[in-house]
Amino acid sequence: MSDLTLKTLTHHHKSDKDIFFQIDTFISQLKRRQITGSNDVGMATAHLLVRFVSAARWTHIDSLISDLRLLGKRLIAAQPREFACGNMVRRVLALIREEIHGNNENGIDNKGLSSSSPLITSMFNLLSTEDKSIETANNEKKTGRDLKPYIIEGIQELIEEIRNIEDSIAGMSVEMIHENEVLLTPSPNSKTVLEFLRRASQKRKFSVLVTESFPNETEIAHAFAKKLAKAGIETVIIPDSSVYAVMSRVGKVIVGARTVLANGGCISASGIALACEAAKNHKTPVLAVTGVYKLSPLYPFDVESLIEVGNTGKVVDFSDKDMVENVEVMNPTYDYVAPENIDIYVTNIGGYSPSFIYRLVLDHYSSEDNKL
Amino acid sequence: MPPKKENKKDKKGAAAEFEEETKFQAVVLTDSYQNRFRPMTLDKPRCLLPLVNAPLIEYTLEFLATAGVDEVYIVCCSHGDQIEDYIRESKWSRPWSPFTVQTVLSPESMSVGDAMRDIDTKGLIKSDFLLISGDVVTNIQFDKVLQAHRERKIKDKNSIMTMVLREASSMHRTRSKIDPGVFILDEATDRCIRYEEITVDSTPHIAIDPELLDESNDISVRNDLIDCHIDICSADIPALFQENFDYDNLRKDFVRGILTSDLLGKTIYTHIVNDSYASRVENFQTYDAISRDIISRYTYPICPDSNLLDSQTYSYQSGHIYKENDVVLAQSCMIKSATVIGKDTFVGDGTKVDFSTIGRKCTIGNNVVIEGSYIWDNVTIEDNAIIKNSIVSSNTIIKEGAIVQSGSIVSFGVIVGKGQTIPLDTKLTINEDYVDEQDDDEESSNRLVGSDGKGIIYCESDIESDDYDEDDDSIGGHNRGALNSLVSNFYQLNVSDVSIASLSQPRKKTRRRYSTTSVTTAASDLSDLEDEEEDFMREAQLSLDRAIFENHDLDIAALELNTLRMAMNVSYHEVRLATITTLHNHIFRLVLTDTLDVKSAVNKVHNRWYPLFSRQVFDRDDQEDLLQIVLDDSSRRPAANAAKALMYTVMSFYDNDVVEEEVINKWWNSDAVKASDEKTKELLAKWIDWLQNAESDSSEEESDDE
Repeated sequence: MSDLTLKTLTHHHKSDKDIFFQIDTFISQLKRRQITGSNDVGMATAHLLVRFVSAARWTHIDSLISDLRLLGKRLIAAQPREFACGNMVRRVLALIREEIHGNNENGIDNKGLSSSSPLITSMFNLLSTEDKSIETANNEKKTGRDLKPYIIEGIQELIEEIRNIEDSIAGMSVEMIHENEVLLTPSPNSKTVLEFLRRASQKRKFSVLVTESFPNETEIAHAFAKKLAKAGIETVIIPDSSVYAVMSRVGKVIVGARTVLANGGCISASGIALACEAAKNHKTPVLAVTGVYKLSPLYPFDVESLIEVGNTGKVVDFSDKDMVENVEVMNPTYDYVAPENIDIYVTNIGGYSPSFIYRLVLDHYSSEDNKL
Repeated sequence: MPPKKENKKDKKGAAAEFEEETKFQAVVLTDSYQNRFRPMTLDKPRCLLPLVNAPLIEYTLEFLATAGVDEVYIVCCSHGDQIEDYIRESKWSRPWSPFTVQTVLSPESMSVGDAMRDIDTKGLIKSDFLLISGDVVTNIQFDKVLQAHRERKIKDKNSIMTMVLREASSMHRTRSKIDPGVFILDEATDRCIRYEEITVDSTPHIAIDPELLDESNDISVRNDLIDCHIDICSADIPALFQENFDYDNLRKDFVRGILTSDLLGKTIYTHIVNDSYASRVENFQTYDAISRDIISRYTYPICPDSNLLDSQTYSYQSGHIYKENDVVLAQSCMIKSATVIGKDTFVGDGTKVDFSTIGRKCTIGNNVVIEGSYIWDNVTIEDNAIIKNSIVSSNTIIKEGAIVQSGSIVSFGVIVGKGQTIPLDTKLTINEDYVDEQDDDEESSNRLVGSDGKGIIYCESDIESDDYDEDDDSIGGHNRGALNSLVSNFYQLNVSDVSIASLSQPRKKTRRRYSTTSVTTAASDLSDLEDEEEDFMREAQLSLDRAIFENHDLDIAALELNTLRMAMNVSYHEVRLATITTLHNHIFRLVLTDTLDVKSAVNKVHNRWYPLFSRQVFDRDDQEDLLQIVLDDSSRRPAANAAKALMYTVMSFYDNDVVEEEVINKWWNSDAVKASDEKTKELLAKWIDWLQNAESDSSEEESDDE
C-alpha cells in the first residue's frame, strides 16, 4: 500500500479509497510531468486538498495538520521543483492555523487584528511551541468538526484567487505601461504576462519584443507572439543572444515567475536571468508579474537544488553521434533571478518591492510549516 | 489477477460501458528469445535486470502509462514466475495504476511468433494494439503516433502495422550493432517497402527488386534508424502469425514475410521520430549506451530523479550526479560527473567514481577506482580495487586489490579473490552448467578468481569475442579506434544469437551456433554439424519424395521443407542441395525406366516443382549456388544423360525465372564449369550461345515495345 499513513483516513471507507486513488494518481502525474506549470499544478493541488479535507475525519485538529504536512511532503518529493504544490499545502495549513487562532480569541475575530497576528504567533512560537499545542488541545472539543466547512471555504477562495489572478493583475497594467513604449518579455510561457499585455493594449499602443527562449520554449514563444499580434500589439521575436543589444531601446522588461522566493528573488524559465542582468546594466526597470499563490517561504540557500534540468536532447540533436558520445550537456529549464535584478513585483494584491516580499510571506504562511 | 479499477467504473457507470469498446491494449513481450544477456539471464529475466538502478520493465511500463494504454498483457516466458511476482508486488497492480496489468505465462514459446500465436489462441486482442518489447526506454509523445497510425489506416485499409523508429546515425552508440535493420521506405507515405537485416553472414549489399522503384516515386534506404520495437498492430496480426506458423522473429520473418508476399497485400508503415528518445536494451552495448543516455537526461522526464520506483529517493546535482538519501561518502572521495549512487551505499576515502552507476547497500572501500561501470545492489568492493567499463551484478565481492578490466561481466554471487586480475572481456558466473568444457576449468578459473574467490568463466566468452573480431571486418570497415574504448569493449561483448528462448536451452544448440556463424571453429564442432546436415538431407529427401509421389500441394511441400530447415537450423544451401538431389533422383528414375526421354522428364519435373525455389533462392549469390549444386549433382549421375539433364535443367531455370541470365553467364565463365567434362561444356556452350543472341534480340524487342 501507499507509504502514506494518514490518521484521518482509513482504508476501509470507500470514499477514502477514492481519495487515496486520487492522491497517488496526482503524484504519478507530477512525476511524469503530465501536469506542469505553477498555475495548473496549483489548481490541481487545491482541488485535491478540497477533496482531502472533505474526506478526512478528525477528533483533534492537530491530526489533520500533521496529515496535511505529510501529504505536502509527498507531493514535494514527487516533483521537488514544482513549488506550487508545497505552496498550496502551506497556504491551507496557514489558513487552518489562523482559524484555530481565531477561535482561540473566542470569536473576537477581527480582520485588522488577524492580518498582523500571524507574525506575533510565529515569534511567540519560537519560544514556546509546547504551550501552543496544549492551548489547542484545550480547544479540541470546540474546534473539531465544525472547522471543516471553514477550511473548505478557505480553499475554495484560494481556488478563486488562482482563477482570477490574471484578471486582477491585468487591471493594473494600464498604470504600468506608457504610450508608444517598447517592452521586452523573456517569458512567453506565462499566462499572466499575456493577459497583462493584452489588457494594456486596449488602452495603450506599444510594441513588444519576445525572446525566442531556445531551446525549451521556442514553440511556445511563437504561439505567444501570434496571440499578441492577434490582440493588435506590434510584436517582434528576437533571438536570445540579442537581448543585450536591444536593451538600450527597451522601456521595461516584463517577466513572469514560476515561484517567488522569500528573499525577493524568483525562479523562472531559463533565459530570464540574462534579460534581467542586461536590464540592470542599462538601468531598465524589470517588472515581475505574479500571483500571490506563487510566493514561497523558501530561501535560495542552494540555488542548484531549485533548478530543474530538462531534456538534453533539446540542446543537442540525439542523432548527432559525435556530440552525444563526447560532450556532456546540461539543459537547465529554470533560472534564478536575484532580488537586486528585479524592481517591482506586480501581484494581485498590489505592487511590492522585492525587499518587502518577506513580509507578504509572513502574512500568507505560518512559519512552522516552512519545512513540512 | 490484479485488482480492477472498480471504483472508477462504478462512478462512471454507463460511460465506462461505452469506453469498454475502445480500450487500448498493449502487449509487452518480456522475453527476447535470445541469450545476449547471459550469464545474468541464467538467474534473472532480462526485463528485471536493473538499468540505472531500476528494473528494465519499469521503463516500458512507465511509457505505457504516459501513452494512455488501458490494458497491458505481459507475456512471460523464461523466469515467468519471477516476472509475475514482480508485477504483482509493483505499483502497476495497485488500484490507482493507470492501466490494468495481466501477466500471460507462455512457457512453451520459443520465439516471438510462438508468443503471438499464444495470444491469438487466448483471444486477448480486440482492436488495434501496441506491441512492445519489455526493454524499451522512450519518452515519445505517443498520442501523435497513434493518431498518425489511425489516419493512415483510414487512407490505406490494408495497413496492418506502424513501426516506431528513432532517427540516429548508423554507428550511433544507442543503435544495436548486431544485426541492424535496413529499412527501405516510400518517402511520400512512410510506407515500409522492404526490410533487411544486416547479419554477420549476409553480403554487404541489398538486392532491390526493380519493380519497387516503379511503384513509388521516391524511396529511401535507411541504415540510420534505431528500431526500438514499438509497433502499433492491427488486431489481425496475431492471426497472421497463426496462419504462417513459420514466422518466428518479428522483424526478420514477419515484417520481411509480409512485405515480400504478394498474396497478402498488406502494408506496413513506419513512424520516424526525431524529437524524442526511443531505444531498446538489446545487448550489452546498448545497455551501456542507454544507461548513459538516461543519466545525461536524453530520456527526460524518465530520469533517475523521477524515481520510477516508489521507494526511490534520487535527487539531482549539477554534472548529472544523482544520489539517493542515506548515501555515505567519505570526505576525500571523488564523485565525478554522470554518476548514480543508491541508498545505504558507502564510498570510502580516496575512491574515484566516474561515469558509473552504483546500486543500493554497496560498500566501496578506500582508494578504489570505478570508471564507466555498472555496480548493482549489495556489492562489496574492497580497498584498492580497480573496476573499469564492466558490469558487476548483485551480491558479488571484489576483494582487495583486484582488477576487473574493461568489458568484463561479473554475474550474481561471484567472488573475485585478493589481488586477482580479470582480463578483458571475461564473463564470470557461479552457474556450473555453463562452463567451457574444453578448458580445464577448475584450474584455470580458480587461477582467475584466486583461491579465495568463487566463480568460473562462462563458456561463451572467449569464443564469442574472437568470433566478433571477424564479424567486425565482415560488416565492413567498422573502425574500432573511432569508437571510444568503453563502447568498443562492450561491443566486443555482444553475443550473436539464434532464436531460442533463453529458458532451458540445451547446451548442444549453443555450440552449434558457433559453427554456423564463425569461420574459425574447432574441428570437434564440425562433426556435430555434419551429423545435423546429414539428418536434414535424409529427412528433406524423404519429405520431398513423398510430395512427388503423392502429388502433394506445392505449398505443403515448401512448408515442410521450411519447417525442417528451421528445426534443424541448417542454411538455405542445404535446402537447395536436398531439393535438387531429390528432383534429379526422380528425373533419372523416369529416364532409366524409359518412361520419358531426358528432355520431357526434366521439363515435367521442373515445371511442376520450380516454385519451390522461390522460397529457397533469394538473390544472385543463391542463384549461383543453385547452379553449382546442379553441376555437382550432374557429375554424380550416369554420364550418358547427365550433360543433357544439366542443360535442360538450366534451361528450365531460365525459362521459369528461377535464375537470371546474368547469373548464368557468370556461372558459365566460372572455373567450376570450365573444369567439368567436355560433353557438358559442349552442350551448354550451344545453349548459352543461343541465350546470348536471343537476349540481345529480345531486349531490342522490348525496347521497341516501350
